[in-house]
Order: sequence, then structure tokens, then C-alpha cells
Amino acid sequence: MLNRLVARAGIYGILIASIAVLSVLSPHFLTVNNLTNILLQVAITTIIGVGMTFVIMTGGIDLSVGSIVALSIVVMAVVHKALAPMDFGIFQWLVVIVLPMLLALVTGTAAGLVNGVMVAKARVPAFIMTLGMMSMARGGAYIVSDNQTISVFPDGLTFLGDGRVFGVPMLIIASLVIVGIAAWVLGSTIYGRFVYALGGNRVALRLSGVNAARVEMSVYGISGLACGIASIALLGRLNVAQPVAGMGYELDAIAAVIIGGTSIFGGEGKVANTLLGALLVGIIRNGLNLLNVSPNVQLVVIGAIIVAAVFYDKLKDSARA
Amino acid sequence: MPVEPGLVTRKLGKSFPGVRALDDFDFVIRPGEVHCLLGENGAGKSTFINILSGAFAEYEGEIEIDGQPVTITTPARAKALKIATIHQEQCLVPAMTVEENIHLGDEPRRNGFMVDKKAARKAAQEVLDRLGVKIPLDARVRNLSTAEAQMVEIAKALVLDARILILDEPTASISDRDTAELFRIIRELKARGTGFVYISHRLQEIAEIADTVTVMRDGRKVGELTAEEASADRIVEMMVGRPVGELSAPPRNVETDDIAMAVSGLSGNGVIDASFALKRGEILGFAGLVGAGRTDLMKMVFGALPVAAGTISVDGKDVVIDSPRAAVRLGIGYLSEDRKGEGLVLKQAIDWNIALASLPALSNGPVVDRKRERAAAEGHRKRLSIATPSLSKPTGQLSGGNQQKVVVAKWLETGCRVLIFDEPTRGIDVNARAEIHTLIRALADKGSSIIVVSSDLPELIQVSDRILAMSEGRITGEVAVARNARQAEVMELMLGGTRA
Repeated sequence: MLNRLVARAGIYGILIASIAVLSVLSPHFLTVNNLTNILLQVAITTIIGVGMTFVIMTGGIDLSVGSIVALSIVVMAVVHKALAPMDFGIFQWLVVIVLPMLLALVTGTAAGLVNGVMVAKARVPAFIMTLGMMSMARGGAYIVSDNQTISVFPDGLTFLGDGRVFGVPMLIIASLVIVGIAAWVLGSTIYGRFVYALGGNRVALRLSGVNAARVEMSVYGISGLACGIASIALLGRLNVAQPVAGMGYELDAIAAVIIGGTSIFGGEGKVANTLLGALLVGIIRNGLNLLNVSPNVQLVVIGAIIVAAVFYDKLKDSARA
Repeated sequence: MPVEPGLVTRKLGKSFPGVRALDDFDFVIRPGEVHCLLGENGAGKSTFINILSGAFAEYEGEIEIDGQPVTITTPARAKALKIATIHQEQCLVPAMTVEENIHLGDEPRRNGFMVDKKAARKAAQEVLDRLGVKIPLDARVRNLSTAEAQMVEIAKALVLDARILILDEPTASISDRDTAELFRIIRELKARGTGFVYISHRLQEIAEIADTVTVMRDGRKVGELTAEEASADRIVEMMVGRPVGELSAPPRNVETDDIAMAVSGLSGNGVIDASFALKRGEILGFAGLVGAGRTDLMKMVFGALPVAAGTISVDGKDVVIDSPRAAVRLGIGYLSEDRKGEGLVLKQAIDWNIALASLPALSNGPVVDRKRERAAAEGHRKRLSIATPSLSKPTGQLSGGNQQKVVVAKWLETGCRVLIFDEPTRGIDVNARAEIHTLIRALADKGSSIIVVSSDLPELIQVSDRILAMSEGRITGEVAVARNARQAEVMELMLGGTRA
């Protein structure tokens, strides 16, 4: 009975219920300030979660996202600091601001593609490959930054994470646009079909004359690209780049995807629900903060919610049978 | 009332949301008897055997064993009652050895918690000897053939001292020779008093092995026949619910020298020096035992397996086919023997699956044109009479026959002119099987060139214009069906003989 109810209500119901409960418990919860705050806090998780959705949709997993964010952010910061003192004339802005950002994107995408090649072509299990990349990229971040925290960046570089457009934080706009693009790609394009098919039945996709390995490779590239974008956002939000950045991001991103109802077994899911999943994690975290629950307890709660979400996924399946 | 020995069910019933899967079902399994259960897909056979194997915690009606009422609400309960089920899908652990699998879940113990290895080995060897099969105890199950793995499952049931053995389409994927071996074992176990429930779509087998035949339709029992009463026509009539006319079609005439595809000296993956030519509009059958290399040959032709040597030409031009992608571009389609595992994305909608191999043609740039996709699928639904209320339904919800039609539609949509059907009617009921045969012939009449690989010899003879037999990786001979195909003749070639 309860099973059926929960199964039908889904992520929307749970989201609304938690908002209701928290607004009763804390008078500060339902304020514009606090809600903007939540959206900002979950924006980076959402961006990484979008890339993670592609990967999990194919039945894979990417544990290296946090480390790839760290590697991208220090590459961007180091290149910027190295170039900033020099004079490039009219190209100054291009070289000092745009180039480091592009390099962050390239770094993230490249690291993701290494994952992709090894998983799709060399058939290393995604769990192991991305676990290895988690360590490699983190190590790379320490090496590139020489263990240093790099801080204070110009406005251009921090605009994505810190800027506002007509009073609305740029990061919120960006994360929603990224969700929109990803939803379009997955829902309407040939490529999106292939991603679903890869997770649903890899052999059938291959025997339909599609280069399944290339599709699989690409989703890790997309996840890496999302990390690159997230690293630019993170640098802007904190105005700091450090090699320990992004620790534990894989947890939040995977949680957002799974809580959003994308099947961990692949072939089923929606990127818009990843946004809701990220929001739910953010709201619960924010609520627990307002209620003065210690961060240690919060970790326990978030972990339990991930397990509950997968359990719920199973529940849905058995309710259907 | 006299106590009836064996297992008796009375008014057995089971409902699922929206479906009455089994209704008022009376069935008897007597010791030493093979009771065949027949019915089209969805007739309720699986529901029935699932109840007997303890898959459902709830069901309606009563079950008695030797006059004692019992309830079978868990698999453990079924095991305790000595009921063993051998499902179509194997329930063995591929990475473990034959011996370990035979004892899995019921290991002989020493000191309460350690496996008694000596006793285990002895018992396992004993049971294999009793079955008269030679399978090494230390072989990993993943290295066994389907037929051998099946023997291991039977051995496992024997170790449990099963009194009732339920076999769900045991011959669906084993060769005729292995089938004969299986029947020998069934007869031996029968003589020792084991009762069997035997499910199969192959009517010939039933004539050979059954003592009693029960036919089901729509979750109900249509009737029970003795082996003598159970003629093929009578059974099919009961299954379908109407008399059947002549199912076999007249021979077709393919008098052309127009070669659609020619394969020359193809080797690799156990296939040795295979050469054949497929004429335009021809249906070319491939007969052979399981493991003769037919599927591997086809997968090489389709680019799904690497080719070691040999050439392929399409429309007279030499081509390189190094991936399924290349094959599809050359207009070749392959319908896998494993429809669910290799042909369809079951969670996705019917039109989605039909479009999968032709998306670029159904799209504007990178964006899929839903209207065109829907229209294309709708066309195929009409032409192939795919029975479904909606094209948006998940493909997994269709019956086997309709799923096969969806795969056919997928390939027709690509516009391919060479179609390779690998075991096109495996697991498909009698009625849908005839439909698929008609469909294959209709496609050939319209100019498609078709290869049919099948382990079901009557099917090949029914549908093909010409049959090539393969044995141990080689093409061993050819029979023109229209003139003189006799089952024995093809059989001889399959077993490795060569014809002048």
C-alpha cells in the first residue's frame, strides 16, 4: 500500500513533501534568499550530474568527476596566473581569461575521453577505470598546482560562478540552460537514442549497425566536459583554486542522478529529473543546516537517501511486475 | 475417493493486474509418466510451472501430493517436496565447476559447516554415470554446450532426488542428436518413477515422448489427450481453437542467375572455407547441429565477428565487411537467434525499436522526426500485422511472434535486400510460426534475398528453396527443396556425411 503510494508520487511528491516539512520546521527556509542559495549550491552538482546522467544511462559510472574538477580548476588557475603578468595587447582578455577557461574545458573533456577509450575500447570496467582516474586526476591536480592554493581572480574569470544577469545569478541560468540542452540531446536527437539503446541493449545497438563503442566513449567525454564547466563555475564561486577541490562531488552527482530516477542499470532516465534529484539533496542538506544538524549526521542522511532511492527503483520494478 | 499417486492440482488459479493468467486448472502428474503441456505463448504454461516451482507466495486452488494437501509458496518448499524445474534460461553459475553446480545450495557437509569434498565428488560422478553422460566434473559450466549444461541441471535435480521434473522447452536450443540423448534419459528416469511435466512447441517431440498431453489456451485447460489420441492436427486445432488447413506452402520457383550475395572461402571462428551464393529472391536454408558454425558464419558475413580469410561480394562487387555498420550500409540485415538479448531494446517502445537501425533516414539533421518515425512504424504494423494496441508500448510486452515481427520491421525499414534470419521461430508458438514463414516467403517474392538458419528441420524444408547443410564448421552439401528434400537426406549431411 505504502509501496504503491510512494511509487506513484515519485520524485515530485518527495520534493514537495520535504519543502513542506522544512518550511514548517524552519521559518527561514521558504525565503527568496534561502531558495536562491539552494539553487546556487546545487548548480554545480546539477552540471556534473547532467554529465553523470549520460554515463549512468549507458549502464556505466564515473567516479572521477570530483578529481577531474580539481585538475581542470588548477590547470585554469595556473595558466591564468602564468599569463596574467604578460602583455598581449588587444588579445590580453582572450589570452588571460578565455584561454584558461577553454583549457579547463579541454582538460576535463580529455580526462573524460581517456576514461571513455579505456572503458569502450579496452573494456576496462567503468568502476575500475574511473576509480583509477579519480586518483590519477587528483594526483595531477597536486602536481600542476605544486600543492598550492591559488586565489584571487579577475571578474571575467569568475563571471560564470559569481556574476549576475539582471540580478539573477549567472550560475543558476547556466545550469538550467545546460539541463535544457542535455534534455534536448537525450530526448530528441539520434545521438540521444543511441545513448538509451546502449544502456538498454548494447548488442542490439551494435547489430543495428551503430558504432556502439564510439557512443560509449562519448558519454565519458561529456561527463568530463561537464566537469570542466563545473570547475569554471567553482573557481568563480570560491575565487580560489585548490587541488583538493571537488572532493566527494561524485557522491552528490551520483545521488542526484539516482534520486532523479535514472536506472543504475542503464537504459532509462531523464536529465530533468537529475535537476530535481540535485534539488532534493540540496534542500535536505540546507534544511538540516537550518535545523543545526551537524555535517557529520548530514553525510549519513545523504548516503541513506541514495540507498533508499535505488531501493525505490527496485520497488517500482516489482510494482510493475 | 481413492488416493491418486503423484501430484494433483485442483482449480488452480492466478491473476495478475489485468490478466487472468491461470484459471480453474486441473492437472495430474503421475509417477513414471511424461505429461506434455502445450499452448501458445501466453496460454498460462509458465504461470502454472511457476506455481509448482514456488515462484508465487499466493495462488488459488489446491495442490495434493500422494493425496496429501500441500502448499508451494517458496522455491525452498518446492525443493523440499522434491519438485525440480529446469527453466529455459539456465540456472547454473557459469564460473563454477560442474561438480559445484550439481551440489549448489545442498552441499554434502562435514562437521556441520565444511563441504565434504570426497562425498560431493562421489555423488556427482555417480549421478552423471547414472545419466550416462560424459562431462568432466571439473569443467567450468561456462565452457559447456547448452545441451551439456542442461544435463548438469538434470543431474542437479537427481541429486535432490526429485520426484517431479518440470522441463520448460528443453530442446529449444539443442540439436537433434542431443534431443535424442535427452529423451533416452527421460525414458530411464520415467522407468524409475519420476513424473515429468514437459513443455515444448515441437509437435514431433510430443508424439515421441508424451504419455499424456494437456492443451491450454487463455489460462484454461482445453483438453487432455492420451498419446494415441494426440495427432499433430488435433493438437494444433486445440491450441489455435480452430481447425488448421494445410500449413505448408507450395514450392517456389527461383530460376535466376542473378546473385545477390556470394561468399567465397570464408574462414574463422571455427568456420572452415565456407562458400555459397545467394540468388536474388531466393530463400536459402542452413541446416546443421548446434555448434556446426552456422551462426558464426552468419555473424562473419554480417561483420559482427572477425573474418580470418575469404571474400564476400554483394551485387557482384567485392566488399569489405568489418563491422555490422558496414553490413547495414551494404543492405544486409541480421535477425539474431537471441531476439531479446541481441535484437531488441525491450524497455523501449515498438516504434522506437523499428527506427533504431534507420535513424539518419528518419531525422532532420541530428533531430529525430517523430512524425516520420511514427508513420514508418505504422506502415510496418499494417504490413506485418503486428498485434498491439499501441506502437508506444514497450516491446518487451509483446508476444514472441510479435517481437520477431518488430525485428523484421526494423530491418525492412533500413531497406536492406539481404536478410539473414537466425532461428526465426525459436520460442514462438505454432500460429505465429506459420505467420513468420508466410512473411519470409512474401519478402522473398518481393525480391529480398533471404538466408534462414534453423535447427528445426521441418521448418527449413517448409520455408526454404534450397538447403545447405553444415557440419563441424564446413558446408557439407546442398539439397534443392523443391525437387527432393527429404528430412533424412538433410539429416545425413548435418551429421557430417557428404553428398556427391
